[in-house]
Amino acid sequence: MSSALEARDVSVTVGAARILSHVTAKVERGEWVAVIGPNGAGKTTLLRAFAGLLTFAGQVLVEGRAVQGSTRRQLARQIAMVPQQPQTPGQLTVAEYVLLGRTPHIGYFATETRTDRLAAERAMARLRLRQFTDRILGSLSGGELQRVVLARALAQEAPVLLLDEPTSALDLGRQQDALELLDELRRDSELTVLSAMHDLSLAGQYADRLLLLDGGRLVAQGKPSVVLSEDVIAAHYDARVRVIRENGAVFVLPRREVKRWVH
Amino acid sequence: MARPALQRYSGIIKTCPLCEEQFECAQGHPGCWCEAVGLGRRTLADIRAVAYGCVCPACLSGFAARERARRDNDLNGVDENTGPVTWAKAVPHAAVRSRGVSAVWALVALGSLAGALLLGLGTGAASIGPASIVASLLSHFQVFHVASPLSTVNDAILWQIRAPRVVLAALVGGMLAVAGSAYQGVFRNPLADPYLLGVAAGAGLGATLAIAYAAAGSDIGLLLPLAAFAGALVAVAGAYVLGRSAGGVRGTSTLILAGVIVALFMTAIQTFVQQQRSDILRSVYSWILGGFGTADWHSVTLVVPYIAVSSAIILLHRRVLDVLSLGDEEAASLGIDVRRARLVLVLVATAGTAAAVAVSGLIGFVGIIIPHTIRLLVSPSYRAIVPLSILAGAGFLILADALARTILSPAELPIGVVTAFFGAPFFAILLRTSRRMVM
Repeated sequence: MSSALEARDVSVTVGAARILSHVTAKVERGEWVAVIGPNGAGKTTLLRAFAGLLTFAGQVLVEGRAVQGSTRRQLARQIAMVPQQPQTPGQLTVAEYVLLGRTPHIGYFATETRTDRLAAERAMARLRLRQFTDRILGSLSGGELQRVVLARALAQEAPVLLLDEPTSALDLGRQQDALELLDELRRDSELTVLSAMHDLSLAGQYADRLLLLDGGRLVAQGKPSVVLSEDVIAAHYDARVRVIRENGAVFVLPRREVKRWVH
Repeated sequence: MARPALQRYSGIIKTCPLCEEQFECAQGHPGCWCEAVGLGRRTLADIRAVAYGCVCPACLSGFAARERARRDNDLNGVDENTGPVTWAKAVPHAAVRSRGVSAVWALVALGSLAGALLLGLGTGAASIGPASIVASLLSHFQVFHVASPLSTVNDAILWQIRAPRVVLAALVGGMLAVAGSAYQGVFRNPLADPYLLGVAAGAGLGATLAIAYAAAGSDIGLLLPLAAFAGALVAVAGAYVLGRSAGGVRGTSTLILAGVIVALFMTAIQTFVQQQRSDILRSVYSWILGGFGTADWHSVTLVVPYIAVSSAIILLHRRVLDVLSLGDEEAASLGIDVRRARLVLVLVATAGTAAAVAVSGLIGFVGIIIPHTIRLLVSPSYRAIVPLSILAGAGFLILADALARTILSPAELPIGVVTAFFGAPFFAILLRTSRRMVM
């Protein structure tokens, strides 16, 4: 059986800069894998390569099928992508926005059918958005908007979900809400999730596996308890942290080095 | 929400997946609402498709009301949320749909267009009433054997002079407005108008060359539209090739910049030709200002195919234009081939605009203001903007032309003066009073 996502020796070059070099990685069906790494490590670029949104050297396979050989429409039925800063036109209603997620299932010149409306309704019910149906996007809070964007991705009914920093704009409680919901969704709908994440503690608690990128290279991968160590984080993030392990969970805390002044 | 007074049946409290209210399940007990409500197979399938787990009585009643309404084939007459329900007040379940053109706005737009047509046909040196126009039309088509109330002269004025002029104004107005809406959607730029990629400059150069160098004795009336049309297409093709080769992945701003460069270059050539041949300045100037003074049925048949095909293709793209409003990357991840969609839309909008420009000259303002007016008044969705722009653009230009030929009668004002003079204050008021964002 083929993996949900597979990158074989993928490199991305923009101008003279090499953004990703020779990345080889797999994501199995039903897995939640988080891509971590410092700013500029190539996390977003890796996601975009999986979604077929940029040109790259090497091979990317989605459900065993090469991205390069697929049409945009075939790809959109396999992969739903939630960008870090999605465009949410303020005047669209929630229903209209979620219905746009059905695009890969609607003929190019056609409009939505009953099936599409029901799929959108289902995605909205799943994300507790039924009361917001007729609200315009401009009137929603950050957390509500995040759920609406997720609902659009869910309405796409693709087996693979790519999320770029899904919680970066949310407060602590809303971050947990969103990630719990995501975990629930992927179990119910048997989704494969690949997400770029900044917060290492959250990544460690929710993801099955981590991919650590640094300078465009895949420098470590494996279970959170293996990847998240004080040495690894110090080496690649240039950060001073304390890693706390508790009941199998891993917490990464930033730690200030107190300078003592001697008179 | 106050909980409905339920008899205590089971004591099992569940949360409704649709409205998130808590309710008490009475499953399996006599009088259980699940059994009492009795729903059709299709509605049950709908509920299963939407809800995870049990649905509360309120929501279920909402579905029941919806089903009743559907069964009575009377979806418009029955308020889905307040139908008679046995167990609880139904929770309002707004329908998941995209706002298109509501019946009211469709009627308003069609009514205004019909009014504009009658007004455009009726006004002029010989005033003809709407009733006479309709009767004369019916007599021409031999319907109901109505006798035309018009004299032979008035009949000729109406059908050989005014009618082609009004029809041409409608076609050009609709085309410019719909092309403007397509350009604004494709470039996600509120300033985009149909002349964005150099159509105006190209057509201007083509027309100038035709006027300056046409061989003596050639039919300038036939040559001019063709030259303008060709010039417009050359300009946009040049802009597109330049924008693609220089821009690649850089997106739409490179294309717009390429359009500006091509337009400047062509304007330079046009100015040079005019300097060499100052005797043609007047006719070039009057062509550029635009108008329908020379309209006849021949020019109507000349442009109809272009405008019909172009508008139809843009109309078919109305949902794609909504997807494009999410940006290139997200539209691509939703399965749209953004580059191809943009190429097709720019191509058909340009061909239609070039045909319109060829027969009417450069008429500003319509292409930019009409789509924005619809956006502000009706809906930001292209499902409303595209079809309503066609109707409103047609009506607007008929009225502008009627004003252009009557204000200083028998002299004619350039129509561009009228569209801007009356359109600008109207749009200023709209912009001031509307709370919606421009884009």
